[in-house]
Amino acid sequence: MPKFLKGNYRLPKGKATLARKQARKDLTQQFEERALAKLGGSLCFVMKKGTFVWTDEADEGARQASG
Amino acid sequence: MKALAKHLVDRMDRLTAARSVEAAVKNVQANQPYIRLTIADLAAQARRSPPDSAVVIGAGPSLHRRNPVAQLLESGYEGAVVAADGALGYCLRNGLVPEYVVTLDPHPARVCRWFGDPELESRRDGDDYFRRQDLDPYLGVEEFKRNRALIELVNRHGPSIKAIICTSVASNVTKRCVESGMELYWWNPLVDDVEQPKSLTRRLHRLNGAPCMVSGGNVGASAWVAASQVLGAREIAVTGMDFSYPPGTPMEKTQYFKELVELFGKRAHDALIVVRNPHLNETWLTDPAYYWYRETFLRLAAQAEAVTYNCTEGGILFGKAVRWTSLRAFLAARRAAEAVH
Repeated sequence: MPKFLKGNYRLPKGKATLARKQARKDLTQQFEERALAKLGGSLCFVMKKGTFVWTDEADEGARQASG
Repeated sequence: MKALAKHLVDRMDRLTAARSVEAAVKNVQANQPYIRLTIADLAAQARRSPPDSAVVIGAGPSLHRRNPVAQLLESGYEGAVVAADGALGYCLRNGLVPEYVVTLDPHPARVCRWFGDPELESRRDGDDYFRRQDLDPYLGVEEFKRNRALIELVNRHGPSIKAIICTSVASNVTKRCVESGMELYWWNPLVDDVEQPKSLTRRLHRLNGAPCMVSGGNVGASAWVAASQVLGAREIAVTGMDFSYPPGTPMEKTQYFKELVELFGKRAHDALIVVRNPHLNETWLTDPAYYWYRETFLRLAAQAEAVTYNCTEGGILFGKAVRWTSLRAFLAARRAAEAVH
């Protein structure tokens, strides 16, 4: 059986190593962030284009029409 | 700032997301049955008679060093008073019933303490947070007795208080606000980019229809956002907004020190930051989360139309976007402005 599963081509060397490295880096980063999360603040801070309060106008219109 | 501190400050938005988002989303779903009024309703009310000014009361250590409530009561201040949840007990004990209280942290047990926690005596989780915290040191001793007194105080004054409440809070906080007779005005937290197709914020908004508000990362900043963007105050004084620890505070007494030691051992000290305040000519100590709060607050203030006065008289919140002054001077200026009108 193993002989049928044997690969008959080689991955380009650089690409495979890069992908593996990136995956390892992502995993390390995830672990690090999980561990360090206890140092975090109360709640996320996200702000775009100076918008302090956001409401989906389209949703709001639909809600009012159906209500 | 040492390299370790910088490393943490630079990642603080991601660390905060990792800490809070999962719990926040779970809480949003649990709070669904309670959502009737939102900050859109509050904004509509405020538009009919917008406050000229507001005083935001954060829960930093200067609250207990400077006692701003005594000055507010003495001055007969007539603007809006918006308290962070951690400052509610201090306000009520000292005879000030804030018109608004803001709450957002999704923690399952701790936040309820600010409202008086009916479950405290039956809970056996060994959490010593309230014995270590400096936000309201009064609650850190004779805990059961003082908690019972706070329950009574909040129940007595709840009907006069409007809660500007984030859908991310734990259900025990919601229940306390409801049973004390507060009027609840809900908002969703902005947790990601609403323009992304799989935006979580957008999903939360679709679920309950509540507007999504920038949090600033902490309840004090959210209280300021509510004062400026929901109530429409043009001049806002902030008090108790230290984002740091007074000179002479031992590192062991700082909020995150236990966690820092667990993570970094002897290097824990390298994660703390010292900031020289030129207005006070004093050096204050802070940790990465609080330093991040400071930076986000300054960014928010720079983008708002309202003028922000830092009347904390302590801490590290200074910069171009914030005018440093005393609460006494702010209140005197408001009185003079009212006299002219």
